[in-house]
Amino acid sequence: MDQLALNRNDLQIIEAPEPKEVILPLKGLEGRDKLRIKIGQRLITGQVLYPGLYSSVTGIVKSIDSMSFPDDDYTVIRVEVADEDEFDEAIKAEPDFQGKTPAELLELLNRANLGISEDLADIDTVFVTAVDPDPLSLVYQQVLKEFKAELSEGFKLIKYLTSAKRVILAISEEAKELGSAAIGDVADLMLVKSQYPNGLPELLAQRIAEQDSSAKLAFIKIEKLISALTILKEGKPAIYKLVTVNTKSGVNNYRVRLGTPIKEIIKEDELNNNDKIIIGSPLRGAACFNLETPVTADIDLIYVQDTDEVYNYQNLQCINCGKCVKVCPVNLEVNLICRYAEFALFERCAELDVNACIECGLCAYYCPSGRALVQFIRLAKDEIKQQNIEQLLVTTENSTEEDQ
Amino acid sequence: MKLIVSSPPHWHAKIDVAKIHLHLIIALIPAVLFSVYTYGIHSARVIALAVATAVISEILIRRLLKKPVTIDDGSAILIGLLFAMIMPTSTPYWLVVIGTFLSIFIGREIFGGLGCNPMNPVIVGWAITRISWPNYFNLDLASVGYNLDFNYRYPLALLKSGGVDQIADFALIDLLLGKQVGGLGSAAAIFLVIGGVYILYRGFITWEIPLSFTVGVLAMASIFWLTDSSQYANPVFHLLTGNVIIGIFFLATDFSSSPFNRWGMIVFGLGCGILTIILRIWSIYPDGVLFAILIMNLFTPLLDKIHKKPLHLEIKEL
Ligand code: SF4
Ligand code: SF4
Repeated sequence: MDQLALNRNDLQIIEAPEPKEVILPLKGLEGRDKLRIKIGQRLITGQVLYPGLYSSVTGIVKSIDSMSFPDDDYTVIRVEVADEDEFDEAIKAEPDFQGKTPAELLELLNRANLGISEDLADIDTVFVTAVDPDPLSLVYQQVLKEFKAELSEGFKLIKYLTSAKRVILAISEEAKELGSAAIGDVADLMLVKSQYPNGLPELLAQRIAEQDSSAKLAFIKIEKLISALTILKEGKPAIYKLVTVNTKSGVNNYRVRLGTPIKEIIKEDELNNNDKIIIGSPLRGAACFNLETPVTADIDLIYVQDTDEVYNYQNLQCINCGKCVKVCPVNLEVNLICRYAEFALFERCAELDVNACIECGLCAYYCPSGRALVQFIRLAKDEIKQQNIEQLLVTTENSTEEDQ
Repeated sequence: MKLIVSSPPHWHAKIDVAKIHLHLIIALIPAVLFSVYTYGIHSARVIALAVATAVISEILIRRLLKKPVTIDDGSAILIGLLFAMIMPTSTPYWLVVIGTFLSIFIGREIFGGLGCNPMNPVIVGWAITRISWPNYFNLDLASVGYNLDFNYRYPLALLKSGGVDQIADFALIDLLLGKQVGGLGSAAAIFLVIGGVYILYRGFITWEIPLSFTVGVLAMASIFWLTDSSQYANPVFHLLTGNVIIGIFFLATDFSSSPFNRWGMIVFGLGCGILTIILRIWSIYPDGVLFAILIMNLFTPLLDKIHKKPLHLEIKEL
């Protein structure tokens, strides 16, 4: 059995029960004082809490705390959810989107919590990822199956928003028929082999660039595109996320309210001591240490790994077998980079282009010495970033001295 | 509730160093059995002694250096086994012990252990003993006293001393089937090929070095042979004699001392093949394989500079 094959799905979407409490995360701790809310205040669905942060529910603010999640510290707003949603009136339906300018549309979509990049200039080709990038993830193909009829409208929206001339739909080889039917004459099709890492956006972009090196590329996930259409049609903010939940008791695709804490999706009695909860891909995702971690728009997969399956890194000496170099999709000399990182020779890592690593995890997946290669790479990247910052600081200090 | 936290990836291919070495050892078993079948207890004696010495040396050295003992990764066993395979059956006890110890100590441990050796440890041990005690490496004498059902002369020595006419009665098929004198395991050509194909097929080694090595030997030998076949032996003869086959699959492919980049590996293999023939024709030694590999080992850091440029795959998300 090939663990890295991208899985196929014949699931139905299950509506997850509405949470009693949600957690709305604001990255960093600095924004706390600038929040436009107070404890005890009633929020409505879609309300702006901070630039870029919207309430996904209607309810009462219980507390404002800080919490750590794998990537950073967050200011978290805990909201007790009311039974009925009251939607923010500021978000209006716009079924015929051509009536607005692209800039107005963008503002509307982002006001409705879609989180689209503001920088849409200088794009001429957009690809829509409808292939699941990671093993175990079943979200993208599910959306493709459910919403294939809406896709051509979505392609038109992309072209209108970005003035891209070309739209490409990336789907797995097995979904070819679905895809051919969906693209009409608005988009092109790109077939992707159902094997990790072929579905990663970086590699899809590389494939397109190989054929057309002048293309100015960007991509959008299929689910986000469908959300955009739904916002324009219904005039309601984006408040749900489709998530594949892979636990010991089974695999399901749930539609979950944004902000739902993981503990509401995975019940404690499904977990044993020393299990690992992985948010995201088994190759790229982060291990979760906090069951309060809320579902956000970038979570596609939650995977509970049994204690017995947890891999312990040995971190033995590198035997120079070259496997990591062979599997690296961006041609890095991973063995050298990680030896340098191990001995804190970070400039050498920079010379070998460690920053080009896309953290796909394949090197460490195959390393027979069980070296935590991705961890070394992250360490090197981080050190390089900090040293650059230090250099900048040094130069600015010097120049101020000279000025005096 | 206690949860485990660690950095990605959270899966692993579950192939570890010990498993790789185990399969390399398994791949050598056909040749070992053939050798014991041909030379009986004498061959078994050298093999057992070399393996035991390798393991004990590693334990002692690592204890002395206060480093963790890692015999369970199988590397010491593999080194001992390979060392035995390229020695004559008649090698005296003390020489086996010294040679294997040097393989482990000078070949590997001095440089920091598995993965750090710049040259193939087996060949380092062999080269020191070969140069220090050349008399014990006379393979013609090594076969004296055995009741062999094939030509008991070492083909490469005959070629060196007497030229092409002398090797006319070696049938290539006999050479392939291991009916020739040579290192106690390295003469078993077909059995080494079986093992080699097995580890290639299972992916424990990659195709670049074996293929380019073979091509190097055949191409270089062909050049000489085509210019004057009355003076130079035919390419297939070169491929099947001496330590070429064991070198192709088991010695040149040593991870640490060979390049890890594809084109580096290919140049490395070609270099091994070409040097083998050059040494066979112009050096004082009948066989040039092991020295050829040793020389190419020195170029490994240089060859690893042949590398594809890293790709920068930044992509904007809408
Ligand atoms: S994680 Fe490893 S294999 Fe993947 S891009 Fe980075 S270095 Fe290459
Ligand atoms: S896969 Fe591991 S052991 Fe092999 S070269 Fe890479 S880091 Fe070294």
